Amino acid sequence: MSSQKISTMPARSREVTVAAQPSAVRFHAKRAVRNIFSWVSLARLGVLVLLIVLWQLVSLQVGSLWVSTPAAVVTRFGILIGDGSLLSNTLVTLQEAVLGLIFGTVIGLVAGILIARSPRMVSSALDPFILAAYSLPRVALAPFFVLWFGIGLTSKIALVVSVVGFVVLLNVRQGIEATDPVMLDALRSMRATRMQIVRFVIIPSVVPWLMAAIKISVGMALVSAVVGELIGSTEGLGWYMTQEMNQFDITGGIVALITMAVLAMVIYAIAGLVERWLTRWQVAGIATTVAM
Amino acid sequence: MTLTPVDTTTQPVAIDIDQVSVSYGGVGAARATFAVDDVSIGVRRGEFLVLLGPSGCGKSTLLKVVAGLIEPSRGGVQFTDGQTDDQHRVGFVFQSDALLPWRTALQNVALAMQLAGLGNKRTSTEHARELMTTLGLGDSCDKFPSQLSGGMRKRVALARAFAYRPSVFLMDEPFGALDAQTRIKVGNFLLDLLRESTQTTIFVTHDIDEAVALADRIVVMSASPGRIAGVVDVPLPKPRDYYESRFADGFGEIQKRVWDLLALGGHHV
Repeated sequence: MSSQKISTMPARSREVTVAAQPSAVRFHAKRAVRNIFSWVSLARLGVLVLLIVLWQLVSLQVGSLWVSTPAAVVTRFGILIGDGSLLSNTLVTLQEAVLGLIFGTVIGLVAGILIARSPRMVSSALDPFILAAYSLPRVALAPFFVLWFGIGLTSKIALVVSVVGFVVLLNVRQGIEATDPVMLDALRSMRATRMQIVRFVIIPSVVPWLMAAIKISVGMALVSAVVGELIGSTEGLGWYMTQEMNQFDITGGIVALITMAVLAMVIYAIAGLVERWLTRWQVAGIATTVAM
Repeated sequence: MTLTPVDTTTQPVAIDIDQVSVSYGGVGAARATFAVDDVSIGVRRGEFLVLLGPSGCGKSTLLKVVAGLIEPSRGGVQFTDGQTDDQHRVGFVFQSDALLPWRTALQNVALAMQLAGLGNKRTSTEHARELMTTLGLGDSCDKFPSQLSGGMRKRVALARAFAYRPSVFLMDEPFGALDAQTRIKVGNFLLDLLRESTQTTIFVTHDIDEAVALADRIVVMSASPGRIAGVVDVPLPKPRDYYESRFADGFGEIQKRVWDLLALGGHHV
């Protein structure tokens, strides 16, 4: 049971390979500027334009009542940014997602380390329950959390924690199992205590796995926060969306959707930057390997 | 400063490996396979003892028993140099460099000293930097292991083992992964470091030339189960050179004696 492989091995893209090179930092910055004008960026821009054109065509065909129009959505963005309601609703959802992400990560990390470092008996006893809870569609818990914790921030954070915590927990355990036994032997031969081994070997070697888990969790955290808001709330992007959709205002709903997508991408990008910095030792030196 | 080489054959026993057996798998004696079977060696103070044998002869297992990383099924290891077990520090050098990849070379060396309680973060870092400079690694202090060549990583691993002044060095095929040229260079770094110290060394290898070049005494082991096939004294002059000592008078003769023991050890099953 315990060997369920649901985690993703920290992957390295070619792009990251040069990133953390101290001597290559300037080079990298130049490259980033060049990237904006690269063919890939142009192609992406092309896809975006194509999607907008398609959207426009569909709205002409089936009527703007059903899918709104690009122009109407841009106008609405202008209004909502102007009266500040977009920012305030976004901040509410962001707060729920980020706080849930942080608490969920901490809880998952601590629980993962405790379980992985405890006797086999303990983890074997807990495994079926952890997997049962993990397999549960946890967004279905939203009504429960709203009932228990009210329609405020707490119920959304609890929902996000319940989603993120398990992903982190399972990834952390996988990471600990993958710890190089030679490093453990090395520290033990230096008479390191159990706590020192956790601090100097286990936690650092789990970092790549943890960051992979966090990146997966970003999207799920936003989904959970929004679902929580759909069930019961008085603010947030999910709340705004239900308000508008109940009045058959598709334009408002699409504005909320686009904002969520942008929000997810921004958090994901920040997580990626943190990951790059924390795992710079992994990729360092590809270019500077020196012969004896 | 060069110390006069000590005649280690007259030194008292520092590590008493007493009837050590290590078995894997199986609960009953019939099912268990012995990686190490009833091995006793008295390692003398300051001696460079080489454990030599084919793969699977339990030489690495025996080394880990001495390091306290593996509990023997029977027998035990006694350190008889007056220190209690807790004060005892072993400097283990692994076949892979076993450096922590998320710490720079300097941080790796300094960590060993901090764990041993030799100074705080600042002083241990200072000492580590001095040691690294001695080893010709002054420019590599702030690099991560992944930025260093295999030979440099091995020297960092040696620096780490020496940094916290253990009373015993345990080396598990430390040069196994290096190419011939790098091996000579790092081998001589090791001999230079050892010349300045009086520590006891147990060195595991399957390379006969390396064993004869380095050892005061070679314990030849045979495989499955791991037993001692014989012991060969190496009275070659000291200080040695990792490479040049292979051309010393008597080298070939000792080499042959080791070969004979290995050939013999392979036969009795």
